[in-house]
Amino acid sequence: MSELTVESRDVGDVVLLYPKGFINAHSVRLFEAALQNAISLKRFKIVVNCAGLSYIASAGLGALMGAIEEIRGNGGDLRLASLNETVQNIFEILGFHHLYRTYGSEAEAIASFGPAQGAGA
Amino acid sequence: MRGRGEEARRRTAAAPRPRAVAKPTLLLALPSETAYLGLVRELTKRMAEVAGFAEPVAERLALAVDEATTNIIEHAYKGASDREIEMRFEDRGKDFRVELVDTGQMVDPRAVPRVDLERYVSERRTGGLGVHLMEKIMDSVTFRRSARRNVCALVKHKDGEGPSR
Repeated sequence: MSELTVESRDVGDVVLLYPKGFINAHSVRLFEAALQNAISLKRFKIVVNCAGLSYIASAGLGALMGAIEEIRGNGGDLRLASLNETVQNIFEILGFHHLYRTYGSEAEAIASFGPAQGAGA
Repeated sequence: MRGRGEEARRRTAAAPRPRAVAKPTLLLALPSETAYLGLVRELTKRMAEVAGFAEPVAERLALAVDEATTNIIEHAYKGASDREIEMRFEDRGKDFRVELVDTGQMVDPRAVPRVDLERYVSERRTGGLGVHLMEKIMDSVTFRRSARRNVCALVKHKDGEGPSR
């Protein structure tokens, strides 16, 4: 499925997800799986770097909705960085920019979580 | 008296305007598989651009048609991938119109709950976003049942190219 790839990496206690391609009802399972994988590892500070995301349909927005309560319920948050104009516009149409914090860059989004907790602390 | 050259220059300098002349209809029949949603999106975007819409607007129109197609696959056909969806793209001069026809179960869009984002989060509900997006993006979204077929018509006025929210 070349429509979407989702790579991830850790920076301190923040998990970064990199969806590349587009998220629609066909490709959304891959995105959901990446979110669920972070949650199952009890990594609740998540930044979705949208620089490679060209487009997101309601299925993808639903995936964000489906995960956010558990993430926030565990003291974490899901934040987004580097949205392109199309994705930003879709967020604004739905009012998602009131529900999710968005940042111009990945570094800003990571920094928004504050200093990393020390390993094992 | 202005010469033809000056008139041509003025036309060239003006912002590109959507085509005002109706073009022939494009008909397409595609399988009810989500694997085709990418194609639906690309095709809709290109057709909207050919009709004269700027790329950001064409992107949003493509999203609306993606959502309408997804609704058919998921609700009218309940996920069955062996059915057919008929698409009709029409550049009507003043309007860009996309019709989607299916022979699945009738789905009453009025039964789709209105979007309340706060409740969506608290109740983990994710349905209804697609119809909401379609209505926000298009100037008109209508559903009708005709001869055991569901017809969803999405219309965007060309002179309504504002923020398209």
